[in-house]
Amino acid sequence: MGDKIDTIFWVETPEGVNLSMRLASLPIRMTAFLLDLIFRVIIFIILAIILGVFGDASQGLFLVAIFILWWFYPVLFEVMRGGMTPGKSIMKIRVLHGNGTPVGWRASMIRNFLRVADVFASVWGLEFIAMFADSRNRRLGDLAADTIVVYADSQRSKVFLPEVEPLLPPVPLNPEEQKSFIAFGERYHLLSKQRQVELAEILEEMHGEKGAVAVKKLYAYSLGLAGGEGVKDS
Amino acid sequence: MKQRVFEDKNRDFWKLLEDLFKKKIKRDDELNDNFPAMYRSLCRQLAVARGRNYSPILIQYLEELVASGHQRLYGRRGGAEMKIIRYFQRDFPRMVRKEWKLILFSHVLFYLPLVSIALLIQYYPDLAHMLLPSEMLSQMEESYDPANGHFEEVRPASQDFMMWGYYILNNVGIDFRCFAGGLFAGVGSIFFMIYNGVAIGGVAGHITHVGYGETFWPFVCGHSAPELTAAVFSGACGMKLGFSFIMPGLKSRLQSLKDCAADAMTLLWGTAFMTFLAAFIEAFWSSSPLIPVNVKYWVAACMWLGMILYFLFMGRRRGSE
Repeated sequence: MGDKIDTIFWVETPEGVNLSMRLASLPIRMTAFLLDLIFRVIIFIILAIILGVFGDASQGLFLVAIFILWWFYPVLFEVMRGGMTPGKSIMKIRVLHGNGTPVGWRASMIRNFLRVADVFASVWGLEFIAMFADSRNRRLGDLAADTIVVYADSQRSKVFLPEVEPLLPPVPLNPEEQKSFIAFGERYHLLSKQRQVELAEILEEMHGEKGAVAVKKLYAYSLGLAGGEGVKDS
Repeated sequence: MKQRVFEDKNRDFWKLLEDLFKKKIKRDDELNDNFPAMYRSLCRQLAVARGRNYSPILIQYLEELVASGHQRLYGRRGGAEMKIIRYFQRDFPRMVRKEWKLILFSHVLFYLPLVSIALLIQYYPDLAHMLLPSEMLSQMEESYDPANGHFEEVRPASQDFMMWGYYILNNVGIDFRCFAGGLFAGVGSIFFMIYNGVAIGGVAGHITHVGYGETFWPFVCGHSAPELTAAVFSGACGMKLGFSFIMPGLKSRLQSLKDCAADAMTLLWGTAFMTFLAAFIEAFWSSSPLIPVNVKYWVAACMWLGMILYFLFMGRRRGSE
């Protein structure tokens, strides 16, 4: 069931580990496209102002610039900047090959040149049907180029468990339960004070504490389970 | 091993990789040489962490590191200059020969209406008015009218430059659109081929019939070889894309589309370059009144011959691998 509704897409690397990619959804991609459109119009206006000062010769340059802006703006950005056009970069999404590697010239050109056909198809909504029908939200250009659009995860630094005296829980826990304890320790700082207390007090029977003390207790358990030199709590 | 111990043991290694991916530290030669090994041990650590059911946050952190490493290890490679040379020396003409059936078909779609309509107009001049809008015809008449005299004037270089930009924007754009139009089972490309054949044949026939051939043919012959051939190639690229979907052969439709799109792109690069070249010739050579008409015809003939020889014989040697 999870596989069917999840937008996570797995790529197997030659090293034998699976990488998970979160596929970008239609509204996000459309917003990125519209942002890029706005950027292109802005660049267009700036060029028109700068090159408009000179005569016919610069008009030739201007026309070539429009050509590049129209056909190669997404290609150049996608290939040079790790799959991100400025619009995609704002929406924190990026284009990758189907096997998870950075997009190259060939694939980027295929997917962007075929955008004309995609726009043509979208007039009758065919485009959106295709994207919804495809398990990886690919538009026609993506299908031909074998590319996917995924969220570019910010590289968060790992928050290592904070230092307190580690304890072991008084009752034996199964691996799933142990994992939730450790997860609590790791996400502790992301929760509000009230939520921390609320969660910790669920286990009042186990540790017999209330309020901030309960939170601290739970914390110590998670540290103990994660491998600190824990003393068994009685 | 408990998660905590595992983390403590590898923390510095992960931090190093993290800094490397965030470009906080410069990559030196030693790090370069060691990177594949480092990446492999990172992969192993992720597998170990998953196997031992370590916490989701640690696994996610390692996954992100592995994803960045994957990007870096399998990313873009250098040597672009060699690739370009090899492309024109070998890959492009080979691809043209490999796709000879489609390219021949595309030629027929384009030249059959072009030649037959141009000839028919000599006998039934009204045909031009039936096929093409009258404003277009009168506009063409006006620009090729020898009495107008602007074919004798030397136009300023800046204007040549402007036309060059226009030809690139317009003509290369048409190539790309012909290609994209092929995605719908090739119908778009077939339509563009016939349409262009009819339009060009109609104009050429009409202009010749009204007697302006002496200005028209010297102008168009110069860039005709790369320009018309590129237009026909772009149609073939589009058809390759579209037909891959209806005639996938032994592959799945999607796989066939992917493979053909890659091949079509190989063909399209050269095609775009030919149109780009044609834009130069059209803007700076064809339009120049200083070059005698005979020279223009001879150069055009040489270009056709050179182009045909290029596509027939370039890159045939095995040694050019």
